[in-house]
Order: sequence, then structure tokens, then C-alpha cells
Amino acid sequence: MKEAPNVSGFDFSVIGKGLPRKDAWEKATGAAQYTDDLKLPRMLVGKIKRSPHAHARILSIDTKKAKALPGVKAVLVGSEAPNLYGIMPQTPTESALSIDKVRFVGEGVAAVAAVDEDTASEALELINVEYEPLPAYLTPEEALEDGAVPIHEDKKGNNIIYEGKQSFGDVDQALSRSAYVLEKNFYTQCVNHAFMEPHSALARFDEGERLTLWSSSQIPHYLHRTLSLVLGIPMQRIRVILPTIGGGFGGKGEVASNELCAAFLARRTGRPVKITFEREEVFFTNKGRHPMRMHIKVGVDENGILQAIDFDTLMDGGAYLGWGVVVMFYCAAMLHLPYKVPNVRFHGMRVYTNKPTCGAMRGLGGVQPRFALETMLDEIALKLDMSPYELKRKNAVESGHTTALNNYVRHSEYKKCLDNVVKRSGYLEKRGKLPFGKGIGLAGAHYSSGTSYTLYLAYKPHSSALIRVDTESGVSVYCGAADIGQGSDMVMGMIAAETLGVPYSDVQVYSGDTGITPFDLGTFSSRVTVACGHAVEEAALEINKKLFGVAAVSLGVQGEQLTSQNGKILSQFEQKKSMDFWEAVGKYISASGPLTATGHYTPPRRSASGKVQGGNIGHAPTYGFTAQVAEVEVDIETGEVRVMKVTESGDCGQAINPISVEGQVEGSIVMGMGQALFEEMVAEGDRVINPNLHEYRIPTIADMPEIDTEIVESYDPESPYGAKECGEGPIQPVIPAILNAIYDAIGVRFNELPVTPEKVLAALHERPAS
Amino acid sequence: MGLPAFEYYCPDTSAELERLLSECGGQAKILAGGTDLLVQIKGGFQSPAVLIDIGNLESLQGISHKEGKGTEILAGTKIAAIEESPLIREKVLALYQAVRLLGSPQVRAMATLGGNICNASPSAETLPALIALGSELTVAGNGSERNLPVESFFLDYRKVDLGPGEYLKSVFVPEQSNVSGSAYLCRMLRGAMEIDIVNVGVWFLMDTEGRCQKARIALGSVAPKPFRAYEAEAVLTGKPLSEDNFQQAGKVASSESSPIDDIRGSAEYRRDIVRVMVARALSMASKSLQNS
Repeated sequence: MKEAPNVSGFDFSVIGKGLPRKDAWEKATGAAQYTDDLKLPRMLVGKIKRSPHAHARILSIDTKKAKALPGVKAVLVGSEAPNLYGIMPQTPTESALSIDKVRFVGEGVAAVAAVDEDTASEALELINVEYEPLPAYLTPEEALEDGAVPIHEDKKGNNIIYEGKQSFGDVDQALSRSAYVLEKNFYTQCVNHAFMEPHSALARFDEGERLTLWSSSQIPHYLHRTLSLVLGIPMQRIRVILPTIGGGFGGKGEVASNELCAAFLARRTGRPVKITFEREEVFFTNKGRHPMRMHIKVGVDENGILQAIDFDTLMDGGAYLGWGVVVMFYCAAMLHLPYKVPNVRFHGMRVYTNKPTCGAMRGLGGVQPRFALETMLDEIALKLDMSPYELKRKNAVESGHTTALNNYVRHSEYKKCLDNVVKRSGYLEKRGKLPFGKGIGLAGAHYSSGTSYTLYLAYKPHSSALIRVDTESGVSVYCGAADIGQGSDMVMGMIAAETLGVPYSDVQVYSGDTGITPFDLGTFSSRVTVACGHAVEEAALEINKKLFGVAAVSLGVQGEQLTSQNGKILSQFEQKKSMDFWEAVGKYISASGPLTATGHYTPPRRSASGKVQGGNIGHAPTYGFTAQVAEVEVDIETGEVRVMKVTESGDCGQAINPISVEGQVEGSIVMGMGQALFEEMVAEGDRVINPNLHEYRIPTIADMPEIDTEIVESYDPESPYGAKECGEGPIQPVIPAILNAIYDAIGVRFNELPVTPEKVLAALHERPAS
Repeated sequence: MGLPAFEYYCPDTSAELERLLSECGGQAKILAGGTDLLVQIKGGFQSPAVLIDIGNLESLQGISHKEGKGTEILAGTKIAAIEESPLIREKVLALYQAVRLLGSPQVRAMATLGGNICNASPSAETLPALIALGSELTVAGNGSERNLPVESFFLDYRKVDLGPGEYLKSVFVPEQSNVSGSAYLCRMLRGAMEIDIVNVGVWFLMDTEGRCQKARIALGSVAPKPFRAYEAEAVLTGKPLSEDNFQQAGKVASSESSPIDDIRGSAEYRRDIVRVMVARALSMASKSLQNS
């Protein structure tokens, strides 16, 4: 069990202690209740009929036979649910079911509710849809060709969803004056989150048109809004509840069609309706990482100091908007860190194609450019006869840095991460000195710890919390944060326990229920620990204040001299002057009624100075940092790359629960390794041919490298208990660390993912004999 | 469940199994572990009218060994039971090397050896090992039994030599002598739960001069059915058991394979890998011989 180094000067009793996850036992034994485990009386099963065409006009949908099938209670088609929605509310493009046109193979065209799954499946077969096929565009290049049919007819006659430009400084001049400029092309493939629990939603309408929706979602609030919009009922009559959730990684960060269809079918039938996706439906609806073509120039001076980055990308967006524009500008913002770059130019185009929509996925916007840039810096350093470590360290940002985009880095221990990982892994001793076929590679990264803006204009706090303390039920923390498996419930409980000076076991956290928990934007952008943590800490401090008032009178000391520790409220100066925490709670309630308090958090609003496209996107209250060293062995006869070991050093501020941090880091490393070596959604013609976890290869336990993680000494004084993110930063360096190690092993730079054995072998065959 | 309707029987005796099979003619499919069959039915690739579940037939389960003769594995024996059997590890190491890479622990707990053979996937893990070890199958039904070498059981892509009323009863692996070496190797795109790029079983008998007296090289995943690379075997026969000759056998085996392009790899890559894996398997078998 690891304890986080404590540099805050505080002697914490709960924070920084590695506590086993409260939900681990339930999940491991199968006791945890996921949405699909829920059953309600008279519940119906819903299913969605999907398009076999990538691009076609819907001429007619005949549902008569399906409706006549015994056991079928309702059939829904797109025109009956016409309100468009999208995670970016200003530009809605999606509907519960396609209305007059399908835009990818697997798009929903009709939904049924029936007494059981077999009947529902049979009913789907009886629905007859007449299509008029249109030309399908499967790559951004095809979709951009002259005369291509617009996939969305409301567009200005082409398939460009958005073209983004940002320019800071004088990139052309900086490049022309650079001592060395490296220019390269990169490509990243289409990958899916492969969360273990497929989407599932259960809808129930009560008397008076009140909807309750249980769903596997990261974003109860945006789901709440969207249900109101699409169903046309006020938000006040809707309650969204998150049961146990089996992962999201961004893929459940948008409203999914099963949630809307279940609600429509429940309303129509007056019975609860559940729709759970098959694994192939998860792949069809995707919202995974954008495939990106990147053309990049990086210039450095003779000492390896970064002068400019010129970045151009073509993003394959798939059929709908989703998080697309946010992903694009996140990508733009990612160029400015974790190194000091005075001149930066970004040009990006996100293009519609007739494929499943791409969206948010762990580390969004960062993974693709980080892969490219960290391998380029490796190459540049070696060209300059410099250690990649030295080059990265020279350019690394420190606390108080402001980027050209105006991101403010209030706290960074990135240099410490680099130093620590290089030392622990023996990088300097090994790089360039291992036998042919073995290699070691270094990469570093940052990620935003939250986001400065909501997706729609709103001024209310991004996170809020309510704490209720009473002698009967203990400490109850209510917060809207969505625990999707990352462990935020435990983090919030530990923050409350630390602040109130009670053991963690005295605290119960209630989260992710719009009916009982106060407002929170949801789980994305690695925002929860900092944002919701602030709110919980503030609420707990307010509880203390109320209790200190009671204790001050009892103990005869001034309230501001009191502190809460080990279940006691005591004087900071005279430990003898103390009273039991619960005694104080009892006295407070007897005298003043229920003991409750609220807290809330709004991040500092920052944007790019001046008028810059997408200039609000990518600003965060604080940033996490990480550095990794990968060691690989390449089988030079088969091309197999085996990652033997990954050493990681992370700056996540003060770790609230080091065991959870370790889990996030290890999960990130395995996920990144999957994209580096194994994973790809493969299309043959217009359909995905591996929409299953057999042929879509995520790493198995047999592929796990040895992983050695360490949390560096760090404390962000403006964060709750000094904490920062650790859920998305650690995926950023994985791919380039592995690819830099492959270069060290066999002298080949790969610029396209995934690096399959076949590509490795081909490259080895082409390699000039040395 | 999403399964089409079928009749279901679960006989308690072999006699009842034989009666059901002969009554159903070609309409029935035997349900063993179900790890292939149920997936295929659910996916709509098969829709048998009758399923005969052999899960209750203790007479079809078990591993036994006769000293000097060999090891008999009854067809309904679970893959996990083979994997965990000390007898298999001691007497039929190459089969152990194969079954431990079959599917996942969950799949191995359900799947049976007979099922893996009768499903006749070109990439089935157990087949190259069994073929290389010179195993025989016993097919029963219609009141009689017949024996045949494993490799001749496979007629074509996923077609096996089972007539109406017949079923696979057992697998017999002859005793390995202390001058024979064998090994199973495969190449996968990840460390587990894979359909292999290629799987290889090798076996050879060493003469008193340290030369290869006889060899069997069996390949899976690189042709419509598992097969013996006879020309590669010939290359080895009569020659010293040296790395050079293993490489040479690998090259010839590669030219005997007829892989296709698919999502897991191109035909060209597979041929290349056949060469490497055959040589490695022979080398591994040779080392096992030196160590014994």
C-alpha cells in the first residue's frame, strides 16, 4: 500500500492514505447493481433496428407487422421524436432515431418495446424500411471531394463540420530562424473506449408525467437537459439516477439513443422500458477517439529550445457532431504544454464521414498530438546529439507559466516527474546501449484538471455539494458528481472525513442522482476531484464552523481556535479542551435543528486574449503532469512488440487516495498500450468488421507489462487538499514512450498506429543493412 | 437469449445417445461445452433442429493412461480438466502447451476436447498438437466403432468425417518414447483470447546417431483445415537435428501453407511466420529432448 509523500505541512489522517476501494468487493463478486441488473414490475424490453446502409434516404418505414406481433407494446420511428440534440447545445445534429436519412451503418431507424427480448428482436425483423442509397464517404478525403453529397443537408454544401484556426506569435519567422526544423506526417486510427458495461437505460413514467431514468451515463445533468428537450417535458419533471457504472472513458459523456428511446417507449406504453446495447451497438454508436491525420513542423534553436510548432490536422468526425469541435480546440490547446512554446499555429478541419461518430475518449484532444510531438522531440534531441531527457527538461514548464494561448499553469512539478522517472528507470544508462531488439523510450505530458466553461452559457457553479450530519445516519455527502468507476465517491468521502476530522467509515456519499443530489456538470475533462472536491470541502468547513460555535461555548474557548481531529473538536493550543464530535453534533441539532451545509465551485474563467477561434476551450484551473519510460522487446523474426516495463512518475498534486491514483495510472497505461499496438476499429467497405471484443483487441492480463508508478511530491495550494487530476494525463505519454522505445530497439520510427507485428516486420525488411 | 427454437435432449447413457443420434439422422447437433456451437447458433450461422447435450454422460469424460501404450482422453473431457491434469503434463506436454492457450479460463471451463475437434476450426489449438503426436480418434455410433488418424478426420473447411448417427468418442495419444521430442507453438496478436495467426505442432523421433528418424509437422490457421506439412517432414527425415535443418524445414512448411488475408494478418505475413514458428517449435522440441 503506497502512502503519498506529504509536502503540505499538514498531518492528514485520511487524505493520502491508500484506502481500498469501497466498491471493489461488490464489483468483484457481482453484487454491484448495474442498470441492466435493475428490474421493475411490468418492465418491457426495448430494441433498436439499425441501418444496413452507410448513407441513404429513408423512403418509408412500415411498422404494421411489428405492431401486430403479439407481445409488442409499442414501435417508435424517428419522425415521432423529431427534436434534435447534441452535447454542444448550440449546434444540435442528432436525433433519437434517424428521421429522413441514415448516415452510418448501424444508425437506429426504429425502436420497439415488447414483453421480452426475443419478441422485441422478432419485431425488428418485421419492420420494413425502404431506402434510397446515397454515395457513402468513408474517409475525410472522399467526403471533401468536389461534388460530394453533403452528409448533413443543412451544411453549406460541403462536409466540413468545422475549420479551426489559431495563431500565436510569428510561426513562419520562428521556423525560418530555427537551427533545426523537423517536419513529419502522422496518422492515428479509430479506437473505441471498450468499457466493460455496455450502455443501458431504464425509463419509467409515473402518474403526472414524471420521468425517472436510470442510466449508465457520465453526464446526468446534460442527459437531464436533453431528455427535457427531446421529450418536450420540463426538467422539473425528470429525475436521472446513476446506478453502478462499469466505465465510461468519455464514451458515456454524450446522450445515447437508448436513453431517449427508452423514455419515449415508456411514455407511450405506460410501462417501464429498458434498453441495453449489445457490444456491437456500442461499436456502431462509438463516440471514440478521432482518427487524425497530422502534418507538423517543430523548430528548435541550437540548444534544443523550442521555437515554434506548426500543426495541421484533418479529423475524421464520423456522421455527427458530438464533442467534435471541443475535441478540435482541446487538441489546439494541448500544443502549448507541457513545454514552453512561444510560437504556435493550429489549423484543423473536422470532416463528416459515413461512419460511426467520434467523440470524447480519455485524454481527448491530447493523445494524438502528444504521440506525434513526443516522438518528434525524441528525434530532434537525437539529431542534436542530446539526450531526449535533457531536451524535454530544458523546455518543461514550471509553476506560474502562462502559455501563448493564455493558459495559466498555477502549479507544475513536471521537471520533478522527468527527473524521477529517468532515475528510477535507469533511462540514461540504458538508452542507446541495449542490444538490437531491446529498447527504452521516454515521454512526458500534461492534462487539464477541469475546464473553465460549461457547454452552454451559464453562470451557476459547476459543482455543488450538500452535507447533512446527524447522530442517527452519520455524515451524508450529497453531490452530483458521476462515479463511473474512477472512484470519485470515495474521493469526496475522504475529503469530507478529513475536513470534519472523522473516520472515512463514518461518511456515506450519495451521488449522481438529479433528484436528491445538488448540481454538477458531470464526469469529463478530469474535473471532478478539483471541482466537486472544492464544493465538498467548502460544505464540510461550513459544518465545522457551525459545530465550533457549539463547542466554543461548551469548552470556553474561541471558535476560531478550534479544529476537528480524530472524532474530536479541540483547541489547537490546548488539546485537553476537547469534546466529542458527535456530542457537538447532538448539541447543535438540539439547539438549532438539522445540521446541513452546502458548498460550491466555479473555476476561474479564462480565455485566449483577444478574439481567437475556440479561445475559451482548453483552459483549466490547474494541470496534472506525468512522465513515463517504456521498455520494449521486439521479436525481430515475427515483428511482435512486447512492452516489458513502464515506469511512471506523476504529478497529481496531493493524492487523495493513492490506491485509486495507482489504478488510474495503470489503467491509462494499458489503454494507451492498446492503442499503440493492438486496437483498431477496422472497416471493410462501409461496415465495421470487428464490432466485438474478440477481434477488437484490448490488451489482456497476459499482455500486461510490469508497471512501476510513483506519485512525486506535489501540492497545489489552491486545490482542495492540494489535489489535481490523474485520470487522463497518464494516458498521454504511453504511445510515444512505447514508440520511442521501439526506435531505440530497432532504429525505426513509426508514424501510424497501431504498430502491428506486420508493420514492424515490413519495416525491418526494408531497413538498410547496417 | 436470442436463440431460435430447437428440440433439446440430455441423455444419461451412451446407448440413449446413440439411439437419439440415429433417430434424428442429420438433424441433430451434439452440444458439449457450447462455447462454439451456441455462439454460432446465436449468430445465425447454424440452426440445428435438435440439440443433444452430452453434459450428463460420465462415460464420455475422463483421462486415462496405459503404460507403454498411451493416453486416452474421452471426447467430453473439459479443456480445463486437460489443462489441470498432471498426467497430460507428464505424458502429452504438447497438448498441455496447446490447451492452456485456448480461449479464456471461462471458455476452458466449459469447452471440451471433442468440441474443439468437431468444430473443426482451421485455427483450433488442440489439432496441430494432436496431429503431431500421431493421435487417433475413435468414432462411435450405429452400434459400432472405428478408428482413424486425427488428420484424416478433417475433410474440408469445417467439414469432418462423421456420418449420420456417429459421434466422436475418444482421442488416443500414443506413448512418447524417450527419444522423441514434441512441442506446440502459436503466434497470436495478443497474449490470450486469440484466434491464432498460425499454430504449429511438431514431433520427431531421434535415431541412435542423433538424426531425425521420423517427423510430423502439423499446421493450423494457414489453410482451410489443419494439415501435415509432409514436404517439411521429409526435409528433416534422416538429417541431423540442427538449427540449420529446422530453418530449412520452416521454409518448406511455409511454401506448403496456403493462408488467406484477413483481419488478423496478410497471407504474406502468415507465410513468413510459418517459417519462423516451425523452426522455433522444432528447436523447442529438440531442447525438450535434451532436457529429458
